[in-house]
Parts: sequence; C-alpha cells; structure tokens
Amino acid sequence: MFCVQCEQTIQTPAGNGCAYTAGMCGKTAEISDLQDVLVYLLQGVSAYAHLARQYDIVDAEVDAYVPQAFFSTLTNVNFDAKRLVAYTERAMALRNRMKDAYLAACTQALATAETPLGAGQFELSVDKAAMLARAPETMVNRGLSEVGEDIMGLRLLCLYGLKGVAAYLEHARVLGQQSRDLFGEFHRIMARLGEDPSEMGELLELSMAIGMVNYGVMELLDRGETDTFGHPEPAKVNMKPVAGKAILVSGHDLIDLQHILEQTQGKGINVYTHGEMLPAHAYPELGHKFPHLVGNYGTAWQHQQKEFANFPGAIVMTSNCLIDPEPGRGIEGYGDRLFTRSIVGWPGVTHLEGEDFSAVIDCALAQEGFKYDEIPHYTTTGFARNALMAAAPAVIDQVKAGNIKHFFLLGGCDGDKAERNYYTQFAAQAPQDTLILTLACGKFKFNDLEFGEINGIPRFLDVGQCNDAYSAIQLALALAEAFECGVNDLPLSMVLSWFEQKAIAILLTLLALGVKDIRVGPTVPAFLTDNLVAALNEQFGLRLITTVEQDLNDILAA
Amino acid sequence: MQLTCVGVQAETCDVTRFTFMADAQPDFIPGQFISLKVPIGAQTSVRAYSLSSTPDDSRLQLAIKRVEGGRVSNHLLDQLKMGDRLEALAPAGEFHSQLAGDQPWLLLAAGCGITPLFSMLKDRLRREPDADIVLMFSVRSEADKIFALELEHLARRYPHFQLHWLLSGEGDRLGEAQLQAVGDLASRSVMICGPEGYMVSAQTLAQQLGASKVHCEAFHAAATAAAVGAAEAAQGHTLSVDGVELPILPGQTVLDSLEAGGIPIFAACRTGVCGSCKCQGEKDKLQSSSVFGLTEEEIEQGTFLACSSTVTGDMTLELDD
Repeated sequence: MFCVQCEQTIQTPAGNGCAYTAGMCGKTAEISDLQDVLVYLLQGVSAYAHLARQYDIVDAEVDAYVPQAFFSTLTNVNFDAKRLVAYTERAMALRNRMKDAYLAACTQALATAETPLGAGQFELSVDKAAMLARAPETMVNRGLSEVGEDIMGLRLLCLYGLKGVAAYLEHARVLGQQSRDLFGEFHRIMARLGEDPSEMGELLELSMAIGMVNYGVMELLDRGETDTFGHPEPAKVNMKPVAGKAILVSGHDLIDLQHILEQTQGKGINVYTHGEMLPAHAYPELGHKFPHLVGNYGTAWQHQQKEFANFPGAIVMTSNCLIDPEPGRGIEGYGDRLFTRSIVGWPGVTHLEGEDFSAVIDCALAQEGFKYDEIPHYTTTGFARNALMAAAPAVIDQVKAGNIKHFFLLGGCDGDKAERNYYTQFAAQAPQDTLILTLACGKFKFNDLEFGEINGIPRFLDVGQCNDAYSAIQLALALAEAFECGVNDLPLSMVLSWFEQKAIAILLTLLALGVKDIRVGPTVPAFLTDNLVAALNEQFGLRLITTVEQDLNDILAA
Repeated sequence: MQLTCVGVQAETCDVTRFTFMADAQPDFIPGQFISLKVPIGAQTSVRAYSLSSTPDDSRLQLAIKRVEGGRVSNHLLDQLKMGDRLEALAPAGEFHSQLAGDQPWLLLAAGCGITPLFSMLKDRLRREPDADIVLMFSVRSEADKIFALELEHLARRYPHFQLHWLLSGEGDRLGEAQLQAVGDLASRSVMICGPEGYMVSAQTLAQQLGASKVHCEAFHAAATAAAVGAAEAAQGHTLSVDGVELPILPGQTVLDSLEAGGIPIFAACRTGVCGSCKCQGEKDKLQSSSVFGLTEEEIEQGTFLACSSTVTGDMTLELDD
C-alpha cells in the first residue's frame, strides 16, 4: 500500500506515507490497494466520459457514479473490501459503456477515435485477487522515480483535492442538485490526472481548476441545502443528553437526518446530531421543525470510539468520518448498533440502502436509552449565509465604530494530534474586540467556550459544516463590497485546520479565488515537498501556523 | 504540563471556577490535585488546587477561593483570564477515590473543600449509578453554595445519593445529630475536606459515632496541605528556591514541600541517615530532627537535611549539587 492523503499519515525521515500493513486510519493494505485500483479505473471512466462529451453524449449515471465511488476512497469512509470490489465492477461496466458510446459516435461522425493514455487503457478482470495483483500499477505514487517528489506532490495535491470535490458533488447530488457543466469539468480533470501529467505549470493550472470547480459545487450544495431545508436560523443546541431512547446521526447528509426525523416522529425516540451534523439544528425543516431532534451528542469524529461506546441507542453514519467500531483496548464495541449509509462501509456493520430506517428505529427501541437528563449545556450554530448577511449591517457599523477590529475564520477538520490544541488556544487568546467565525468539525476544539458578545453581536459565529464554506466566502465578499476593498484587504484572517481531502478542495478554492495569506495547520500535508510549500508561500502567501502568540501578533500587527 | 485557561466563571462572591485545556490530557484519580506555577512579578509561586473535574471530562476544572491577604489566590482571581497559559505539575495526592474504596461513602465538605469530593462524587455516580453516597456540605449561606446546580441535579438524578446543605450562618453546623441520622456510619468510608478546624472536629465526631474508615485531606501531610488552596490560610511559611516560592506548613518537612512543588531533589532514605537530601538554608530558621553526617561547620553555615527539617519562618534555600 501507499497512501498519504490525510493529516495523520506516517511521516518518518525515511519518507512520508502509510506503506506498511495498515494505514493510520485503520484501513488495511488490502483496502488501500483495492481503492487505488478503483480510483485508477474511475479515471478511465472519466476519460471516456470526457471524450464522449465532444459528441454531446452525457450519461447521467456515469456523471453521478464516478464522484460517488471516488468519495468511497476518502479518509474514514469505506473499509469494506466486498463493496470496493463491487464498485470496481460497476466502474468497469460504465467505462465500457462510455467507451462504446464514444466509439460509436466517432464511427457515425466518420472521425478517428482518440485513445486516452494511462488509466483509459486499463484493462482488468474484476475480482479481488486480480485487483490486488494489479494494484502496484495503480498506486497513487506511480512513476515517482521518473518525475521526482515535486511533480508527484502536485499530482497528489490535485488527486486529493479532486477527491474532496467528488465528495461535495455527491453531497449535492443527494439533494437533487447536479450540473452538467461541473460534471464535465470534473471528468476533464479526473481524466487528465489518469494520464499522469508531468509538467509543473499544467499541474498548477489543474489545481486551480479544481479549486474553481469546487467553488461551483459548493454553490450547488448550498442551494441544495437551503432549497430543501430552508436558510439556517441560529439555534441554541443542547450538548448534553436527555432521558429517553436515542438515535445518533453522524456525517454530513442532512437528507438522511430528515428521513430519520420523519420516521421517528411520535415513537418516543430522541434524535441527536453528532460531529458535522450539528448545524442541522439551525435548518427550518430540520432542527426548527422537529422537537425530537433534542441536541448534539459527543464531539468531533476522533473521539467516537469512546463516545459511541457510551451511547445507549442506534448510531447512523451517513458519510465520513467512520473509524473501527470494535476498537478493543477495554472499549466496548458498538458495531451491532451502528448502521452505515451511502458510500460508507465497515465489514460486518449493517449497511442500509433506500429510505427505510425501521431497522435503526427497532435497534434504538431495543437499547436502554438515556436514563436521565444531564444538566444542559448549549452552543449556538447556524450563522450561515442568510443569517450572516442579515447581521452584516450591524457588524459593519461596529467595525466602523472601532468596536470590532478583526475577523478570524478559524475552522476546518478536527483530529487527534496534540498540536491541534493550537486552535483552542487561538480562540481563547483572540482579543475581545475580534470575531471568530468557524465551520466544520474543527469547531469542537472551542465551541464549548464562552466568548461573549460585542454590542449584541456574538463573538463566536458557527457558520456550519465544512460544506458551508460557501457561506463564509459570501460573507467575505459582502464585507469587501461594503468596505469597497478586496477580500485580501479586509481585517479578516483565515486560520484553517486540515485533516482529509475535502479540506484540500476548500483550500484550493480559496487559493483559486485569490485569497492570500491563509494559515494552515496543524502540519503541512505530507505529500507537499519543501519546494512546493515555498512555491505556495511565494504565490499565495500560504503558510503553516507557528505559535498562537506569534501568529496573533503577526496578524494583528499587519 | 502546559495549561491554557479556556473559561473563567464566578461561582460565588469569593470562589471562581477556572477551566483549563492541558497540552496533553493528564491521567488522574478523582480527588487529586494539580500544582499551578503562578508567575507574579519576578517570582513564581507554586500552589496546589484540587481538581473538581473528572478524568472523563475533556477539560480540567478548578474552583479557587480568594484567601484574604493571599497573594496567589488574589492574583489568580483578579488577573487570570481566558487564553492565559500556566505551567502545572502533574496531578498528585493521596486523598482520592481509591483511598475511599467501594463501600458506601459519607462525604463531609466545608467551603472550597468540596472540590476533590465533587470530582470523586461525579466520577463514582457515573460509573456506579446506584452507589450509596451521602454528602454533608457546610457553607456560610445560600450565596456561598458552590456547585449548587450540579449537586442538586445529581441528587435528583441518583436516588441513592443524598445531599444535605448545612448553612453555618443560620446556625446549622455539622454535629452529632446530623451524623447519627446518616446511619450505618461504621460501614461507610468517611472522606473529609475543609478548613483544619472543621476537619479535626468532623473526624473526631465521626470516629466517636463508630466510623472506622475516616480520611481527611490532611493539612499536615506532604503536598496535600495546599490541595484545597488553603495553604495561604494555614499560617505556613514559604520556601524560596531558584526563584520559585513554595508553601510550607507547620510540621511539614522541607523535603515534602519541595517535592510537592515539583522541585527535583534526590532523597534516598528519607529518614535522616543517608545525607542525599542535603541543602543549604538559614540556620536560625531551621528545626532539624537529624543532622546525621553533617559536620559542625556545615551545620553552622546552614546546611541541613531536607527530610528531617521543618522551618520557623520564610526561608531561602539552595539545593546541594
């Protein structure tokens, strides 16, 4: 195996990346190899989907399938070999279908068919043994000795960034939002990456193109969420359990949560959000509509083994991040009351298709539930686009009056490393005349703190999921317009934390939009070389976090 | 261990609850304390405070009482704010839930002495919801109730946990009648924490009524002296070593004080024989039970054995290399 896609990957003086019997995320070498083969084959599907578009041939199933299957290889999503093999089988069938359609169109047009390089030519008889045998050809660092570390780093930046885009495409699709143009651009880039491009200039252009396609996808996703569930209205969320039977819903897919809320109405079951699902409380059609969505349980994904073990009900994982539900080490397993959805999978854990959650409900009713209420403790979420825009005039007044000196966007993924305490310290040390915007599960590092307010404006504003980065960008654009300046001239600093590939996609979007001087932590992605880091710093002012004191001084002195 | 203050909340008019994030979450036994290194001016003072949080909590919490004239407690309550960082020593202390054991508990607390007992109480009820626990908590008045909301909540939630408030300002003090009402005193582990006078009388009373397993947060024992933030109130002295100021209580050995403050000192026999804990201090402020192995000249110059010496006043000392 070789995998270097997440922040917790092994880094040693001898080299970076998980390349032994299992990755730091818990995926085995076998799963990693199967994922490599699947991704390579998907690049071949995109190659033909891209070529076929010349003849206006668009296959909606292919457009939907490639990002969906690609998403299954994102960190902490799918650990189930059988399902990965099945995805590969389907990918092969769709690749052949696209290829046939393209060749037929060429014949009809009396044109010479192009033969895509690399992944487009990959032939495989799909079964697990054959996939594992072919894995070495498809490893993500294939060709390293020919192209060197810098080019490989850029290829991986593109591959992982595009994987994040795939995840957001799938999140948008389940909300009924699809765009032929965005799928087309996705296939173009996916296909090109399957050809192993080796020019630095082209790879940098591709990375910016990934950022821009992601911007479009985030807009699509924002529309899907707000059309379906309404515009978030800030909501106080109880972070402590209440007595009663319980279902916990984790991941990002709000539509699954909606189904569960509808199907549990009147059944005496309380529903809780977990992790990235927390902002659901702010949607009119979710949190504000269903009183039995009683609160949020637990914190960010990396604590789930302990928190899920103590949850006396059923647990539904709608997307990442899933980790081993049978961890051992004295922690009681919970795989028997865990359910996976969509592209998520763990061997032996019940996977649910369709919209019937009765198995989850039965499981919750069979569990003990919470026996007692805990003393409530609240956080507030839902300062998404509309709420922020409504508050913008008051915020602008306070800025002009000198009461708000600076804005921080402090967000991204959470994770296990002690270095991530930086974000808690940063939030705690940010001066009282500054506002802190946050999004994604990194917020759990500090959303239990009391930040107070500035003349009625809360100092801490939770924008939503990582999916809601679009809202934060819109606020920045609105402020820039109000102050008649560029986003980079605003008293706004972004201090981001990354863990997986969705964060890479969002970072590329911000860079592609021209946002400068972003700080990223807790560590540099292991696939980026020193040369690449220096180049990104020179071109975009992108830099690694240092110490809280140093960074706050530098930011506020600027 | 580095702590970042992430929460400051007034609990009563003279007690503030501080919440901290540790750079690496420490293991501890409910009831134990941590020692904060508090820089004030050019000097760093070390004070120990019992943890009121449990090991399952993601943050560390302390409730610190303002001691009249106390330099450190006043500094913390007046100056420490969200975002500030402090160094702290790892959790320590012998007064904890393992010492209390798994039989029924009688917890006797006065004022800020509730802190270690609050941690023990929450932890045990979480692990053992049917545990038989009685808490008698003496405070001056309604306004001085510490952790009132949480304690009342626990009392509602756990049917075998009984909470009794004793308001001393209304003449309601811990006495024979209250303890007799508890019943089965002999089978209970009695854990007492509060001001020294309170602990002495509570201990005597409990023992007279048949309690055999009684433990106090011992003010005369090593380290625990300051564990309820009461060092400043216990009329002790201070030791100054390498710019660090440590509390030392009447009867406490210099060795115990140094160890409680995290000052590295090698002490092999701890009984005044081996000479490994030799230090340099001020002769006229020392009372030593052993000077074994020291020359007349050394004694004259203030050399002493930390394990066998107490002090009669504030003293500066140097560790012998």
